[in-house]
Amino acid sequence: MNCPSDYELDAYWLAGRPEDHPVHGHLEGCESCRKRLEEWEQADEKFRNEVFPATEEEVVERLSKSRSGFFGFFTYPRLAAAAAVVLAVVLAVALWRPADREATYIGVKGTLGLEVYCQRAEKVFRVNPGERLLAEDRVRFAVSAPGPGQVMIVSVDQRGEVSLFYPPGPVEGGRTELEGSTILDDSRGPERIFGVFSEGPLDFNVIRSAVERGLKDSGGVENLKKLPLELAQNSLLIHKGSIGE
Amino acid sequence: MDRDEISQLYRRLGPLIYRRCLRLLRDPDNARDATQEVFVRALKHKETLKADRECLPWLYRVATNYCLNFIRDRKPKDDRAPEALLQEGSSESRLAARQQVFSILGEFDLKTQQIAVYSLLDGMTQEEISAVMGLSRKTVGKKLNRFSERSKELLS
Repeated sequence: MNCPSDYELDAYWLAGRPEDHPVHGHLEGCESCRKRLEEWEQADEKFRNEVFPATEEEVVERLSKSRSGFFGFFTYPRLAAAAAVVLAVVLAVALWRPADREATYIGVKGTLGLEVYCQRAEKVFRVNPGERLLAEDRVRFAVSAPGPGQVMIVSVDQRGEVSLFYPPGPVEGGRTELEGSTILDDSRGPERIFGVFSEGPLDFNVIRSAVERGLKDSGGVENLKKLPLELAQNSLLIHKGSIGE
Repeated sequence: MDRDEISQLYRRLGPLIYRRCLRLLRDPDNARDATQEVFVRALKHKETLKADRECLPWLYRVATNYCLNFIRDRKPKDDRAPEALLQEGSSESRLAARQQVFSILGEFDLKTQQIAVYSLLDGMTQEEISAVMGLSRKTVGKKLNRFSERSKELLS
């Protein structure tokens, strides 16, 4: 094999340097990589002897205090679910417009419910259809699936560029808070976030092709409320830019 | 997760994060501060973080994002990255790539900056970048091509 990247070397390191790992065999014959690993060990020693003792207390303290913070919200599913229902009712009343109503994004049987939450500095809020979000905003998702299966979250911007926000992952029926978050980049303009559910495996390339077909037919992300796929799905339009725009 | 578990996880993952930050920031003091910040952010936003291969893309994303923002926001008088990089004992081509990347990174959006760092500094394959970034390989390839073309324009 070629010399492994840092990423591959880190994977080997995290796995405890197993002898059956391809990197292990490579290291035996590559002096350059052995030297890299020696440098790593020196850095690791510096962490253990200097960085860890100097920072551990603050790290533990900060993380212990943060349990009720933004993502602490997701650790209280009942509270989150109750809040979601209240919000849904309020939003349904406030935003209901018969002619051009945005997709309902609380799940009902046979559809996928999609909830988007945003953290901006210390503020956390649920994202409403058409809401303006900023570069560096951190977003998380919760879905309400019609049953066990896989879910994937993608987005498409006005240039037609498709990004994978949440790779295909298993969900049970009902509401699931998806792990991890996505930091928005600094592109501007409308962007539509799609949640897609399937009882079988989901393929990103298939979804992306559907987005491309849908964009062609609808003329833009603002009109593309549903992908041309026979899958439970939902979408939410956001606008990326600055507050003053 | 209680305090002991947080401490154990920090002891286990901290070296990896520290190395990553040191590699990008090239300054032990900044890397130390960055390490604790990255670990706190990584754990705060992913409560089930475990020290296995599954956590690697997430840690790379958080660390790289933090360090790139740090480099971008750093005052010019403290901007030691390119000079420090030149003093390294690595191969000339790698140094040239590093210098080139850092000198023009600010011209690109954060996503492209991350991809350029993974590719040109870390030598990661497009598949690895795809896994870390949560993007398709095609998108990674496209962004790298755009980065390459725009870089040539900027440097010409």
